[in-house]
Amino acid sequence: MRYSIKILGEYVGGNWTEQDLKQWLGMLGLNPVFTRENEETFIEIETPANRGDLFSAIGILRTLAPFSDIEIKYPEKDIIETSDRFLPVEIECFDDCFFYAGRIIESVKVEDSPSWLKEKLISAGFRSVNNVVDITNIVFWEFGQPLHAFDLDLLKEKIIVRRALDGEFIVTLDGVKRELSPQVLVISDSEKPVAVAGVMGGLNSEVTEKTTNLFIESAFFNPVRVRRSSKFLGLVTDASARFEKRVDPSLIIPALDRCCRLINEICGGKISKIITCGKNPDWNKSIDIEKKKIVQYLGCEIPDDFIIKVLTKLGCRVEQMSEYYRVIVPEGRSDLERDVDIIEEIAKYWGYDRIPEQMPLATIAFTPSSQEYLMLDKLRDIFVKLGFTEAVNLGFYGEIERNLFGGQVVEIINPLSRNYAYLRNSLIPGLLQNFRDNFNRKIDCLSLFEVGNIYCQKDHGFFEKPVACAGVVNKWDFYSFKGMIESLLVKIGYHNSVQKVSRSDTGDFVEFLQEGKPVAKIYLPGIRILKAYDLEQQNVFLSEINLEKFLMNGFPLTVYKPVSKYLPVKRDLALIVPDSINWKDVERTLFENIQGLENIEIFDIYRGKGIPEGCTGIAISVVLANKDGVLKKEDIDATVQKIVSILKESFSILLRQ
Amino acid sequence: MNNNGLPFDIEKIIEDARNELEKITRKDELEYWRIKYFGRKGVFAILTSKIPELSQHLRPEAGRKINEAKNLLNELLQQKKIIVESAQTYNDTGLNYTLTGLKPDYGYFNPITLVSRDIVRIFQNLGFGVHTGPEIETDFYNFEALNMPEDHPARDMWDTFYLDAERKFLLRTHTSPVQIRVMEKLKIPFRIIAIGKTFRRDAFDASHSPVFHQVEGLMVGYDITFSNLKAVLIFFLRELFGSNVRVRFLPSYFPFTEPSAEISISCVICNGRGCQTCGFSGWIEILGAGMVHPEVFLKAGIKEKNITGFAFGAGIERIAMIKYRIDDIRQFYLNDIRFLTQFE
Repeated sequence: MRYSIKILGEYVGGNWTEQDLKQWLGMLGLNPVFTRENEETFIEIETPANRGDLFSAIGILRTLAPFSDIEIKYPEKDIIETSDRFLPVEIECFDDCFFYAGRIIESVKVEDSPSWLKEKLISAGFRSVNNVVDITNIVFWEFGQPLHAFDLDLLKEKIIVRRALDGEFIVTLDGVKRELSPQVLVISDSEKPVAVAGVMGGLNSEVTEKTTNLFIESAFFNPVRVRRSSKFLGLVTDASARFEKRVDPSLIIPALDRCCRLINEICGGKISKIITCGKNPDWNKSIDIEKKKIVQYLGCEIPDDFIIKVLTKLGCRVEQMSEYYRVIVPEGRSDLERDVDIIEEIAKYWGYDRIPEQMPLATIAFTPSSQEYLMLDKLRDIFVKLGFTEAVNLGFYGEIERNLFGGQVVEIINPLSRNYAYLRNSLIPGLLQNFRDNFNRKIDCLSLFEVGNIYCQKDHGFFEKPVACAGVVNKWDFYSFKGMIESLLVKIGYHNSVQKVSRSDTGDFVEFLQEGKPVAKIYLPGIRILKAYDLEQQNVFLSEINLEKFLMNGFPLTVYKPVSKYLPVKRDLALIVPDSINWKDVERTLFENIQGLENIEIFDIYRGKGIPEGCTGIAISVVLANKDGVLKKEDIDATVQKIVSILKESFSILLRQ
Repeated sequence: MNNNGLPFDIEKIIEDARNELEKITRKDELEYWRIKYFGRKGVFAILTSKIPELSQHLRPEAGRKINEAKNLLNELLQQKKIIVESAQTYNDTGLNYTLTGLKPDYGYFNPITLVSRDIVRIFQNLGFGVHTGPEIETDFYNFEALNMPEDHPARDMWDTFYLDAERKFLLRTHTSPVQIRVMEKLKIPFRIIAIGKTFRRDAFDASHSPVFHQVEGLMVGYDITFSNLKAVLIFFLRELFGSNVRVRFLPSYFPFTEPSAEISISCVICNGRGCQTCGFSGWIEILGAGMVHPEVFLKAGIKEKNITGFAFGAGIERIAMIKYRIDDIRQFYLNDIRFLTQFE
């Protein structure tokens, strides 16, 4: 809402300065913005969602009252009733509208507003339409009660406040034809809807320069109902924004009278008696606030007389008892529901800055952390140590990712755009996208990782699980990358994984299994995927690691193993290995059968001249150790011989001559 | 030519030697030059040997001139030596010691992680535990339990992504649902923070992103006051942004706290004088906070009357933007390696 300080000043007795207003509104957290236009100063404030009362000049003035001794001058609203015209009003359901009031004004002259009204209206941020509509708007601005003027002669027989029927239509004042539903509350005559209640009037009853007789409406519409109508129609207006924050029922008749008085003054005409249907519920909301609770909440004492003065100036009736205050809050402050709301009011006017700071006394036990967060954070350390840089992606898929990688994905029913229509089920596409983006910036050698959730849908529930993903372009060769991933898997407790190799139309996979379940994979994207990410001809390796088992079991315990006192022995072997052999099987078999075998290190891999087709030359070092003493040469030779014969008999691996 | 009667022109010798020296670039050439002038049979040796042949009265003058020239040229030789030797790039190891080394393969943490760690460290020092909650939330935890029943206008403060037509499942719009989850789980009193991703249906611009990270804090006990909230958050902000930062508390509105506050720090760029970053106000809004609303306690199943608590929340990217002076939130999600490698 926008207020001209000058015009606001017309409603107060006494003086304030711009500086006062700045300070007061600031203290209340309304973030006032002051602007100057044509030598007038305007204030614009942020209105919290629960403060419908601040949508009006009177509301603002009431809220400023505790700061000063100014007096609010309420606008004049006395009228003389000289018309006998009547229009019946019915309300179908009092839940939707408990009170509806109106007056007829006969023989008015609808024309352009006088210039003083136009100026006032424009400074309040409205557009001038004609004198009648402008008056309803300026009274709305004054009281915060939205009003609507109908052309009486276009209304058939009566007014009914009812739900719309399926298949009913209305053309609203903005010229749009809108389909209605029973969700929507309408004002109707005996034949047709003539307005969407609390949202916007209908074109079929619009006040124009041809209008001579008016019906002015002032009512209470259920906030939830107006909100639903407005959401259903996708139509938010000043009126709907106000109604959905609950209007002040005690202002319905004053606003109506004020409006009729102004119309009579400016447009002439004769005003009828008031026409009403339903009634305002009795208002007597009283809240008890224990004095000790104020201290318990704020951590400081606030003097009784200050509390009483603030609440009284806000329009509350305050009774002071020895242990508590009994406060009857004004009807317009529907945000004041319970004691803590009143405590906030007191604190606001006292000033948050005046409340002293006090560290909590150390009577509270320290709260331990959930391990999950800290473990994921430690995992990041390992990746960074290995030379990966941390990426963070949004976590959405578009059609492109979904088509490229398939699999079940969770769909967002109201996505921001088609590029963000699904939740990711893998971190791999995100890193590929990052590679592409960096590639386009001429960075063709990099390594990234990400730790985050992937999402899936099972039965009727949605699930998320944490995974880690690492990838590299052109920076390391396959074996270096694989070595990093293997060492990381050991660090997070995925020892001795079984490795399974497979190929699909998206590329090649090395899957790591624990107890038969996949825990990680290394992925070499196929040509189709590389093309899609502009990464053809580049060396791209990725790995995705499922972290559920790790988060359940934790990091493996570090237990010191005594270091052998005797030097280990290394023997190098040059092998010819058929490509059909899974090297992991070879390692496992050797470790199971060779006593004292400490390690097998691959130090060279060679294909080509001198190596038969379908085979690879692999040079290994076997490390042998004995914890009981120095190994004898005969024992070493015998062990190496045994290794060679296992390799030959079980795997057809021969020594290279 | 005036040689003061001496049989050699010392100035000419110096000038020639200088010119020769100037042209030298290699070590072997320099050694050659040195021998020519300073060697056993070099120019100066010869000149010196000629002194006894001069008449008595000329000898001291000749000796002095020769010595001066020797000192001068020796000085030039030493200077040249440094230049020539450092220009010697390749040596017998075959290595050019002057080439810039290769860049190490460091990995870098995302600035979001770095800022999160700073925050965790500060709160762990205050005895807060770190907790987590799901990103896919239900309407109950994200709204209803936080005192926003269906049709509450405050729901408009968070534009939400939904996963099902009944709008029961959604992507959490803030980390506040973690408040409810820990209240259900932990024994009172406790104090926790939670850090994680949040989602809002906001289009990208320099200050909005549909995904961003938040830190949530919650302290619940029997004697927790607004003045405790102030002390803890002032401590936090001064640890994070420096001890001379000023902190301002103003009223605000959140459905799940009462009283509610909006907390700003004096602008770290202009020190409160007013600049582009702070919109010339001198203040930067950094935290939302307040005393836990009684309705929230009830929804979390806490019925005991004298329990109070405070809660707060802040955007991680926003803190990172202020700390590192990043002017566009979109930077965080481009994963441009030139961006990521700037933060230590």
